[in-house]
Amino acid sequence: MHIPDGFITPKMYLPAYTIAAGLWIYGARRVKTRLNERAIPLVAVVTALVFVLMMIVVPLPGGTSAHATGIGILAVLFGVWVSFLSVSMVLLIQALLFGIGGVTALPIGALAMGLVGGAAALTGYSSLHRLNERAALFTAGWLSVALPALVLAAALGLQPALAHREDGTPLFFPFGLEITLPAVVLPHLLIGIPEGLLTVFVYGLITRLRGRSANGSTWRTP
Amino acid sequence: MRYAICLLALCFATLAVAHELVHTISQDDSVVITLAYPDHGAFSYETYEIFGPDDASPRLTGRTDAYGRVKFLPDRAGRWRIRVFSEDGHGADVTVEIDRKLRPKSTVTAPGGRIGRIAIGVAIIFCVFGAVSFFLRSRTK
Repeated sequence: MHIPDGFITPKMYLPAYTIAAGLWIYGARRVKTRLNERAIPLVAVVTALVFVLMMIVVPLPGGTSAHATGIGILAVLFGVWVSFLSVSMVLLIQALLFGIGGVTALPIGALAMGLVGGAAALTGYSSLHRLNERAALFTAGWLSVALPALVLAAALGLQPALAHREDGTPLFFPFGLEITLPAVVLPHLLIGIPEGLLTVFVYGLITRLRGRSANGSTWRTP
Repeated sequence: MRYAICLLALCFATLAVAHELVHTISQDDSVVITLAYPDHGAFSYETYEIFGPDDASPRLTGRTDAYGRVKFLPDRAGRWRIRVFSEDGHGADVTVEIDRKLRPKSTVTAPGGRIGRIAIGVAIIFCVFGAVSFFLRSRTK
């Protein structure tokens, strides 16, 4: 989901920028020291895939639209920090060059999708991959969509409570949690199904073409 | 007595006029903003708010029509702001510059060439990772 400018109060996006900036620096240092250098071309390819998937909009019944993200693939292959940094870069390019999503909402999208989505995907995969690899990948893909949707629905739904006029009229996004939670989360529980299938397919394709990694272990940044 | 009844009737007739709502029908040039998803699906029946220049609260609220359109008649020059929301977090915050003739200073068409834009984005991503790879290799040498 790409939240436009003017939807989020500074009371939320300024602290979000502070948190995200700290995590961008920490994540970049961690990735720089621990990422296998030979994995960088593959990180570039998967990040480009994430960008393309986010640009392809699929119409949904009810007049709305959705897109896949590929965040589960990023997180399972390379870890949470690569996921967070790559998704942040994708969101920045989309906001600055194409006006898709706002610059003010960028840290919220990056934290929700890149960090929470990536962590949820990796946790889901790590918990289940010994039992069944495909089920673990599907769960990773599904969680990478469902949990960020919950976070973004909460971020949007809190706007009327955080910023409003004296008469109670919202200054930013006007719908409260009672509307945003079902409106955002429920469709994403369904969108998570094709996302899960995509994660199974693309991860399988990459590992078949390249092996698990260049040195036989994992590309993931601990 | 007759005069009193006539006077009373006249008073009631005046009150009836006070409650009447007159209307006119005319054709004006309104500013039209059309909102659509990238797949060209209309952003229909969604909530909008229109703020005139320096307005603190919305001058007009409503819902987009079946074709995803917001229409309004500006009554003064300046920057008009149109905010459109759907319950699932989609929307836009559009600014329209209105000139002294109460017309938009410029019209905007929806950006096309989505495949071209995707290609540019992918190229930028590869450039960034190429630079990262170059930087890391130069440090390790």
